[in-house]
Amino acid sequence: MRGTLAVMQKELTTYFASPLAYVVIAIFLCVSGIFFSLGLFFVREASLRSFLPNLSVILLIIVPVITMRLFAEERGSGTIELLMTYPITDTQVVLGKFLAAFVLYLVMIGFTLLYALIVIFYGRPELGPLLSGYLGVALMGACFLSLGLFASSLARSQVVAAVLAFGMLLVLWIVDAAANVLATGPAGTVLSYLSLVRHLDDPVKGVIDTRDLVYFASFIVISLFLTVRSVESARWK
Amino acid sequence: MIEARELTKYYGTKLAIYNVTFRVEKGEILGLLGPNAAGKTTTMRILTAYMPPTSGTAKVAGYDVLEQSLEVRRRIGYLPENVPLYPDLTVRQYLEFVAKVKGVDGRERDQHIEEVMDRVNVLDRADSLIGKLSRGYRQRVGLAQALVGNPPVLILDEPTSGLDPRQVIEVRQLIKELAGEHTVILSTHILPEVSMTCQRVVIISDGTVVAEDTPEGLARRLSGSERITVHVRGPADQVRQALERIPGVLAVHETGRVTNTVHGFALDSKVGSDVRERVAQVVVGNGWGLLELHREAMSLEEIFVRLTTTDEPVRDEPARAREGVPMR
Repeated sequence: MRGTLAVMQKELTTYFASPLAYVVIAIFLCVSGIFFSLGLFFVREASLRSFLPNLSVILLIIVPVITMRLFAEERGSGTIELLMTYPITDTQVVLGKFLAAFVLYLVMIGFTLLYALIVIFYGRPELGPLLSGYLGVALMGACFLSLGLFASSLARSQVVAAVLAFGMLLVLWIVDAAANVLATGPAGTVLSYLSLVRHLDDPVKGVIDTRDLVYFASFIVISLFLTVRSVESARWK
Repeated sequence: MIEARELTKYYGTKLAIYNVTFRVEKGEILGLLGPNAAGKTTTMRILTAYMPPTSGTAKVAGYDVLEQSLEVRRRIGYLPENVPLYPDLTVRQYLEFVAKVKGVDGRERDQHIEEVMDRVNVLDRADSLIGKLSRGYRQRVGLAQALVGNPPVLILDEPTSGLDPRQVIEVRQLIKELAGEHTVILSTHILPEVSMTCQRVVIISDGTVVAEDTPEGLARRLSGSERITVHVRGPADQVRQALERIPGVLAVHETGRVTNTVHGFALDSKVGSDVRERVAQVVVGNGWGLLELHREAMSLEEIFVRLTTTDEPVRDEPARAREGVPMR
């Protein structure tokens, strides 16, 4: 536990000591602000029902940037050698890094609560869907981050890590389109269950379905497990 | 305290070290001496539980590096060769992270970090970003992180490389002070460094241990003599006297009986004066039986020419050393 927290704190310090965190948050807020205001003008509805699912597009590009350095930088600069000879387990290292990225993500998403306040100020949105929608966005982001972390553990260069994460996320995103095409039949059902974005539909409507929660949880656990394995295997090379 | 037994490591199909065996007693400073790419770093990486050996075992403070890796890691401080540090953290932030990870108690943490920084002389840069430090300071911060948590074993890979001569002296002095309370292994390719800091030396070349001795013993073996082994059937005393008379022979040691009538001798001779032909003539000329005559297989000389013998690091190793021509 102490090791996990120490790693998390170190990663957060690094994020905010370099321009990365600020640049990422600024760009995210800029693009999401455009999405929000456009949506507000066109839909003319006092809710975030169209805004929250749209976030996944921005996250597709932003999350690889957040996660790319986590392991790739350590491997590239050789600091991983020291990190792996400290008395902490590989699991603690992976969890610490994941939590740091998640905290940065929550800070970033937290700023969009401002949009929610605007909506609440000018209209009467239901608070239930708003809250469950944010829960969904937080969990979906955690999935994105865990996959990005895995990608970072595979690469020595941050650019490769980012491209790899982007590619993997894109595939999971395209699955959604494929599911729409094959809407009928078992293949479509399977694909739509696999699609990450699809599991945001229910929470945004105000439905908290255990199927979605199980999907998110297993996605995160599997990604983190693969990351631990990938980090471990680096020792044997 | 540290025990390496028959360590072998392959990277893919490339052999890095083979059958490396040595022991380090508590409080001792052991020097791993060898030319570049001899296998020093690989040996250290195995001892620090960074990577597993292909075969063989290593124990630190009684714990196996493979089976009880966390216990081993709790007891070592490691300074890797190129001192990898986080450039975006300040020295203090970094050492705080290391202290937490090593489980230094929260109440003592701040004071402990101050002490460590004082010891390696980086207090004046405590709040500078590591990325902005000079090579000398980075090296000392690297030493500091190894010392955090007061581990009983220190493993230092080329601790003085890249430092200016004054810093080198400081670091060597520091390492000497650390001995006693800590057990230290340090690697180097600089010959005078071991005689200045270490109590015992293990020489590694091409992945195998070729000699283990005290620095004084090594100096003696290096004082320009070459060793030749002879097995002769004949009266021991007479053979000995005859061998001593050969020009170029510095000393003759009896190494004992091989069989009832065959005696073994070790001859120290001047480097370059190959006395083997003369030895053969003398033995045969006296009517004794010459059963064996050879120069010691792995001549230390050949390894030493590839080592840096001055304090200043030399960039190109002499080509003749690689071809195995003895030093003149």
